[in-house]
Amino acid sequence: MLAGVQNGRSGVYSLVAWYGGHERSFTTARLTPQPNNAREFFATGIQTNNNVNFSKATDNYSFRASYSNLDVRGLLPNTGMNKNNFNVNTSLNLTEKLTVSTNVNYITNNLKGEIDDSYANATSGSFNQWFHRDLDMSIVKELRGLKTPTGIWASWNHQNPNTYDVNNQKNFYGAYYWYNPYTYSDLSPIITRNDRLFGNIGLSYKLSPSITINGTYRKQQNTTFTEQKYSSQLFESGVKTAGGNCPQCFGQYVTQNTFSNRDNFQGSLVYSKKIKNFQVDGDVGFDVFHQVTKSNGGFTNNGLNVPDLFTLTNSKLMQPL
Amino acid sequence: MKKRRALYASATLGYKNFLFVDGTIRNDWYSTLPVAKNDVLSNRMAHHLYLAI
Repeated sequence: MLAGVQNGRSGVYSLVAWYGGHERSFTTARLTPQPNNAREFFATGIQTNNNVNFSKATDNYSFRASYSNLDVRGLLPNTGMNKNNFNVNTSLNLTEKLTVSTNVNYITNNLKGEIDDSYANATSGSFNQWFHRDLDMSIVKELRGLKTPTGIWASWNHQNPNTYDVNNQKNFYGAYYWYNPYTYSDLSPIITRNDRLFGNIGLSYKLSPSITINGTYRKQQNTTFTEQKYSSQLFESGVKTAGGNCPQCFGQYVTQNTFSNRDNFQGSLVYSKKIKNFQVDGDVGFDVFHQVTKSNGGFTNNGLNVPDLFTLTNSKLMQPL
Repeated sequence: MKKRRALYASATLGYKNFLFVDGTIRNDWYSTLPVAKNDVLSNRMAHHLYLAI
């Protein structure tokens, strides 16, 4: 369907006028170009960074503890990130020759929302190819929560009024190929959580003025958890939306866990000496490295049996075992 | 699980703070390589001449 239907009087029925329940229902309006509507969709990103740290040092030790928080509001609706970073860094001279030092970091990262630039995605994947340049983005945003009495989410992209069928209202009211992008993101909560622990502990011994022995253990552990909950209402409000470009438009649950652990045990002997006109530096050492990575995950296929029950076993099609 | 073990040595010899020679030798053993030949030997030599006028 094109921009609207001429009614012969003062304007056109806008795409959203066919839905009841808002102040523009069943009224005509001027067909006004909206050259900046795609730009107006993208919000201004806001980044807030807070940090506090404490430190003290004497001849025999140094200590530093810090905490920082990074909060980001994304450009797309329902997107953002929150990151916490804890760090403790210490060094202690146990004797004149022996020093122990540690550095421990713990970082948690919570990422929210569908951040997607692939073909036919719900936002940037439509604005320059299939979207309308006469849609006022503030109205699209205002109507993100609009539903028909039979529970179909309103979209700017529906079929011609002559396709209306009282027994199959989705055929007209449902999103033909495209949802209201705000409604789509409201129906698609996605989280990715990342917990990372890394650091090291080291001993250093000064055997003589020119020889130092070092031993260090380093570790990095990373776990992630992702969960994508695409509401069954996407399918219940869509006509041709679900398919190859949008498997999640059937309603979908996607989840993944990953685990990664890396550690190093390192030792070295360091020599440094000035002999007349010559400066000699050298070291010998070893490094033992272990790495384990594991992941598992899954997704539902072709929709959810019980609407909005987000479990893998609720998949309409089951993968063969 | 992947494992890697390494032994290395490096040295730098400097003369009057303007002529330097340095070298590194390192051997790595990888659990991901075939057991018959699972190590890689690498070495590096360099010399530098610093002139300040």
